[in-house]
Amino acid sequence: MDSSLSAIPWLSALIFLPLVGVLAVLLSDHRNPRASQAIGIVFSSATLLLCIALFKIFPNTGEMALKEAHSWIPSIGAKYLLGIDGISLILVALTALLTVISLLGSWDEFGERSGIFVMLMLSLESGVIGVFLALDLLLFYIFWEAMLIPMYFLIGLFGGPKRFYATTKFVLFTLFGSLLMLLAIAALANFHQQQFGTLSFALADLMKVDLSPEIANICCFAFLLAFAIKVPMWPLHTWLPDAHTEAPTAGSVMLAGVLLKMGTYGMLRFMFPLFPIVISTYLPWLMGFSVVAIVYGALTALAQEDIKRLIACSSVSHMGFITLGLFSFTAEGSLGGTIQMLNHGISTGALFLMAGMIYHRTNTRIIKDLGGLAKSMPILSTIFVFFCFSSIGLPGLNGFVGEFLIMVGAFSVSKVLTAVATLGIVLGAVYLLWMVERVIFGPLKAGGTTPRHGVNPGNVNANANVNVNGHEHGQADFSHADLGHADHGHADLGHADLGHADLGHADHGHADLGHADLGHADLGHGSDHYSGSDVVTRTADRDLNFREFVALLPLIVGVLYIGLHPAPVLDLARPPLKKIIAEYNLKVNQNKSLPQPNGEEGRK
Amino acid sequence: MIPVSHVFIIAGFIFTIGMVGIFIRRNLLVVFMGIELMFNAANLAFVGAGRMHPELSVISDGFASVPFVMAVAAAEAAVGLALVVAMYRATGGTDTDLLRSMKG
Amino acid sequence: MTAVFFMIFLPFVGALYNGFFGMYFRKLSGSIAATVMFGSFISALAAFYINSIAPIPSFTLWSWFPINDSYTADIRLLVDHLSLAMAVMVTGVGFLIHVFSIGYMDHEASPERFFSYLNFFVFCMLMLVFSANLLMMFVFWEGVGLMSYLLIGFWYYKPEAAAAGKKAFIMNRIGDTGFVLAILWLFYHTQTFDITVISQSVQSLDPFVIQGVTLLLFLAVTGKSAQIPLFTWLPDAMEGPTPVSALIHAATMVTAGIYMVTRNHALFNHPAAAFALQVMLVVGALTALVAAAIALGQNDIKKVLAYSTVSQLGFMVMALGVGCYVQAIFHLLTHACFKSLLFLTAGAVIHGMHQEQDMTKMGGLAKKMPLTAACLIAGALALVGFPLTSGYFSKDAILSAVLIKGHTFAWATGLLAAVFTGFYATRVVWLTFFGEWRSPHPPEHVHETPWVMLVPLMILAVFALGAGFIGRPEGSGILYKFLEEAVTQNALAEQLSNAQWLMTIIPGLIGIGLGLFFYSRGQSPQPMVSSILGPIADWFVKKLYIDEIYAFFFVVPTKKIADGCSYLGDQLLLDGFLNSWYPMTSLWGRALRRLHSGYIQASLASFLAGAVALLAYILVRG
Repeated sequence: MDSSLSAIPWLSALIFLPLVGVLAVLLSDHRNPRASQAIGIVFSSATLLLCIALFKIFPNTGEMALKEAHSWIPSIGAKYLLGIDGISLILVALTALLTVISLLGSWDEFGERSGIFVMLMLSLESGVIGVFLALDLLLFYIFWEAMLIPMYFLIGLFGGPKRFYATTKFVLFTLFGSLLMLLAIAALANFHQQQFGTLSFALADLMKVDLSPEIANICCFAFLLAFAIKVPMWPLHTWLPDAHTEAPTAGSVMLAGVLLKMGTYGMLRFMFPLFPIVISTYLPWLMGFSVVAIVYGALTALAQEDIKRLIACSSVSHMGFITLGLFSFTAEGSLGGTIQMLNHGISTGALFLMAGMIYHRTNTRIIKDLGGLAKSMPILSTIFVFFCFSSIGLPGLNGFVGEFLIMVGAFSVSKVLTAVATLGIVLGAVYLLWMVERVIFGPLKAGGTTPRHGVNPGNVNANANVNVNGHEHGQADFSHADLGHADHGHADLGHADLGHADLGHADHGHADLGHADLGHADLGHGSDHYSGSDVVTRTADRDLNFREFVALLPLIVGVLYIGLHPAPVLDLARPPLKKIIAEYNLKVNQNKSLPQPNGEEGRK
Repeated sequence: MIPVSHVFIIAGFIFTIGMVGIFIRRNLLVVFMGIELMFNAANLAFVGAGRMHPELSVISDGFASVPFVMAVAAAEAAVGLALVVAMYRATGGTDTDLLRSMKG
Repeated sequence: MTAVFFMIFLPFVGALYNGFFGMYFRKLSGSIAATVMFGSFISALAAFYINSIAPIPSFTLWSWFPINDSYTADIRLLVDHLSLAMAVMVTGVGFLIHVFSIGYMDHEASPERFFSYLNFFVFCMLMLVFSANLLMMFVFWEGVGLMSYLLIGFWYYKPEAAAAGKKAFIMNRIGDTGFVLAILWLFYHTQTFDITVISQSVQSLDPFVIQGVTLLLFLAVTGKSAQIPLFTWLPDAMEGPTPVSALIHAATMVTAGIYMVTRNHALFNHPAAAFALQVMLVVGALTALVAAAIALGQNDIKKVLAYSTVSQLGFMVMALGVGCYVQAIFHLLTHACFKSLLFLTAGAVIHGMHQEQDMTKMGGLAKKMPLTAACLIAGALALVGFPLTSGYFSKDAILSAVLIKGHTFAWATGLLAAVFTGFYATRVVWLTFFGEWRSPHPPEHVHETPWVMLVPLMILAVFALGAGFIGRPEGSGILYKFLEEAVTQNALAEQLSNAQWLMTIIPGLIGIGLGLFFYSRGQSPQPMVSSILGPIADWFVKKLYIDEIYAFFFVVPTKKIADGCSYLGDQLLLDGFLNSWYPMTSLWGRALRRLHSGYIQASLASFLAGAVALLAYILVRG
C-alpha cells in the first residue's frame, strides 16, 4: 500500500466523522428538521464514501490492516488500538449503509425532534463502527456500552406505546451480559500482568495469556453470555421482539441490521481467539442452541400478529443460522455465518424499513387489519415480496448464499442438526408467505386503501410521541422539543399536533381534523375507535415515493449482487476467517497433544 | 508560648459548634454559618499543625493550605447564598425541611 | 452454443422487457412474449440440429459460488441429448401456450405481468434442464417454484389464489429440504456438485449414503412432481390462469422431478438405491390410483385435469421405480403434449363460457365449439391410452416395463388407475360437449374459440395423437436410440406375451365404455355414480379428506405449537422468569427507600456516622 495513504488515520476518521456530524447538528439549528436531516445524511454518506474508499486501499491479507495504535490510559495499559480486516470492513460498510438508508427512510418522521434523532443516529453509527474496529478490549467495551446510550434514547424517545418497557428491557439485558464481560476483561488483563509484568487490554497480548482451565471457563462464559444476549441466542432472545416492535423504523433497522451482528462479530473476533480450548468443548451445545433458535424463532414468528414483531422473531431464527455456521467453525460454516450477517442486515433491515412504510400509509401494523396492498401500492408490494423472498433464502438472492454455506459447514459436523435446521427453512417460507398472503394479497381491506384516519402517517408518529410526552414527565427532560411540549401540558392536544403538522409537513397540508383524530386515537383508544371515521385523504394509497425508492435501491442491488455474484464478498471475508480458524486449530491441537481429555476436534 | 495542643483544642471546639449548628438548626442561613465555622476550625488546625512541624518546608504546608481553604470558603459562600436566594424564590422559605425532593 | 444461449436467454430478455416496459405497451406484451418464445423454440431446434452434427460441449456462463478453496459452483450448462429433448419440448409447448395465452388473457388488465412471469418461468425451466450441477439445478428448481407461486397467485386479489400459491410454495419447500440435504450429503463425500462427476464416482460412495441420498432426492420429487404425500398443492394450483396450469402444472415444472431423477440416474442405478426405487414404485402406483380415483368425483373441469396430472405423474414415477428412465421421459413428453392440450382446451371452454369451470353447468357445447371439442377429444383419447395415440404407446411402455420387472401388484394398480382414467376422461368429454345444456344462463353467448387459441390447440392435438411413434418399437425406437447417450438403463429382458399386452390396453377401453354407459343416458351424472358407490363416492368428491387430514395432523398442530412457543414459551416462561425477579428487587427497593427521608440533616447524620466509623476503623487498626 502507498505509504502516504497509510499515514492517514482512516479508521479514526470512520469513527469520528459521524461525531463531527453530531456537533454540526448541535451547532446548527437542531430544531430545523430539514437542516438537521440534511446534515445527518451528508455526514453518514461521507462515512459511507470513506468506507467505499477503504475497499479500494484495503489490503485483504487476513491480517489486521491500517492499524492505529496510540497510548490511551497509560496507567492501566489501555491503548487506542484500531485495525480492520475483511470481516470488520463488511460490517462497517453495512453500518454506514444502513445509517444513510434509515436516515433517508425517516426523513419526515419526527418533525421538530429530527435534530435529536439525527444526533442519536450518528452517535449510534460512531459507536457501532468503533465496536467493529477496536482491537483493545477496554476500548471495545467502551464502544460496546457507548452505543447502548443512543439506542436507549432512540427507542425511549421515538418508540411506540410500550417503549419504556422495551428500552429498559433491552438495556438491562445487554448490561447484564456486558458487565460480566467487563469483569472477564479485567481478569484477563490482570493475568496478563501476572504473567508478563504489565497490564494490557490489547487483543494480541491477551491471546498470549495462559489461563488455568477453570479461569478460562469462567471468563469464556462471561464473554459468551454477553455476546449471546446481543445476538440474541435462544433462550436469551426475549428482549428482541419487544425492542423491535417498539423501536422507530430507523431504530429497528439499525438494531436488526447492525447491532445484533455485534454479538456474532464479538464471538468471531474475541471469543474464539481468546478461549479456543474452552469454546471447542462448548461447540456441540452451542450448535444445538442455534438449531433450537432457528426452529423456535420461526415458530414464534408464525404466531405473531404484528408485522414488525414477526420480522423480529424471524431475526431470532436467522441469527440462529448465523450462529450455527459460526459454531460449526468450519471454513464454509463460518464464512456462511459471516456473509449471512451482511445478508440478514440487508434483508431484515429492508423488511423493517418497508414495514415502517406500510405503517406510514395505513396506520396499522396488525396483519389482520391489512390486506390487498398489491392493489393499492403495486411497487411497494413488489419490493416487499422481493425482500421476503430474500429473507426466505430463495436461491439467486442473497439469503441463499449464506444459508447454504452454513449448511455445508454444519452438515460436515452434524447431519442431524442440519436436518433439523432445514425445518427452519420450511417454516421461514411458511411465516413469511403467510404474512405476504394476508398483507399483500387478497382483497383490499380498509386498512389498505382508506385508512380510517387517512392522514400522512408521518404525522402519526410525531403526534403520538408528543401526546405521550405530555403525559409522562420522566421523558420531558430529554430534549428541548419535549420540554416545549411539556409546557403546553396535555390539555391541548390539538395544539401540539398542529405545531408538528406545520413544521414537518407543511407540504402536505392535511385537514386539522385529521390530526386531532390521530392524536386521540394514538393516545390510548386504539385505532379501532375511529373505524367509523370518514376522514380520508389522498395520501393514504400513494405508492413508494422517490425518496423511499432511493433508500431501498441500494438494498435491492445488494440482494441481487450477493445473490448472483457472491465471490467478491466471500473473498473479503475468507482470509481473516482462515487466519482465525488456523490460530484456533493450532491451539486446540496443541492442547489435544497434551494429555487432556476435553479437546474437541475442530475441523479444517 | 501557647502549647500547640491548645490550638487544636480550640479548633475542635469551634468545629463541634459548627457541626452541632448544622444538625440542630433548620434555617439554611444558619446551616451555612455552621459550615463556615467548620471551615475556620479546620484552618486553625492547619495553622497549629504548621507550627508543630516547621521543619517540613520553608513555608510549611499547613500555612500554605490556609489561603486555599479561605478562597474555597468564600466561593462556597457566594454559591451557597445564591442557592439560598434561589430556594427562597422557589419555595418561599429557607427551612431545610422544605427541600425533600430527594425523598425516596 | 450460441443457439443454446439464445434459446435460454431470449425468454429472459422477454421477461425483463415485459417486467419493466410492458406496462407502456400492454396490447403488445403477449405478442412480444410469444415472439420471443418462437425465437427460443427455433434456437432449440437449431441447437438440436447442431448437436446432431457436432456435439455441443458443456460451457460455463459465469462463476457463481465459491464454496471453499477447492470448489466453485458455476452456472454451467450441460448439453446432451436428454437436456436437448426436454428443451425442445419446453420451448415448443411453451411457445404454443404463449400464443394461446395471447387470446386467453386479452381481457386482462395487466397482461404484461403475466407474460413477464411466464417468460421468466421458461427461462428458469430451461436453466433447470441444462443444469450441469446439482446446486444450479436446485437454484432453478426453486426458481420455477417461485414463478409457479407468482403465477398461481396471479389473481392475487382472490384469497383462494393467494392461499393456493402459498400452499404450492410451502409444500415444494418441504420437498426441497430433501434436495438440499441430498446435495449437502453428496458434497460432503464427493466435494463437488457436478452431476457428471458425481455420476462417475457413484461406485466409490458408501451404500448407506446412496440410499439416503436417493430417498432424499425422491422427497424432493414428491414435492415438485406432486406425489403422495405432497400432492395436494397441485389441484389447488388450478387457481392460476389456465395457460399456467397447462405449461407449469402439466407439461413442464411438475415433470422436473422426473427429469431430475433421470438426470441423476447413476445414483438410482446403484444397487444400494434399490430401497428408494421400491418406495418410488409403490408411491407412484398409489399416486396414480388415488389421484385417478379422486378425479372421478370432481366437477371442476380443471380439478379433474389436475388430479389426472397427478395420476399420470404417478405413472412416470412408477417407471422410474423400475429403473426405466427412458419410458418415464417418453411418457413425460407425450403427456406434455396431450395434457397441455387438455388444459388449453379446457381453458378455451372456460374462456368461451366466461369463466365457468363447473362441468355440471356445461353440456352440449360440441355444437357451439366443434373444433375445440375435437381437440379435447383427441387429448382425452391420448390420455386414456386409446390404441395408436401417443399416450397409448407411452403408458403401455411403462406398464409393460413394470410387469416385465415382475411387479405384478404395481402393474395391477396401474391397470385399475387406467380404468379410472378412461372413466373420468369420458366424463369430462361427455359432460362438457354432449348432452343437454345445464347452465342457468342461456347458451347464446358461448362462442367458438378464436383462431389465435385454436391453432395451438390443433398443433398440440396432432402431437398428442401422433407423437407416440418416437417410442416405437419398444426399447429400440427413436427416443431410446437418442437418449442412449445420456441415460444408461438396463434393457428389458423380454417382451410381453400377447395376452399380457392385451391386458395393458383393455382397461382404458373398459373405462371409456363404462363412462359412455353411464353418461350417454343424458341425465346428470353425479347421482348415478353415487347410487352405485354409495358413501364412498362422497369421499372422492371430498378428495378423500386429505387436506383435512393434513390440516388436522400438521397445520393446526404447527400453529398450536407456534402459539405455544410465543405465549407459553416466550411470554410466560422466559419473560415470566425474568419478571419474577421484579418483586424481589422492588422489595429491596421499598425497604431501602425508607432510609431516604429527604431531610438534609438526616443525610448529613449518615454522612457523619460514616466518617466516624471510618475514623474508628483507622484508629483501631492503627
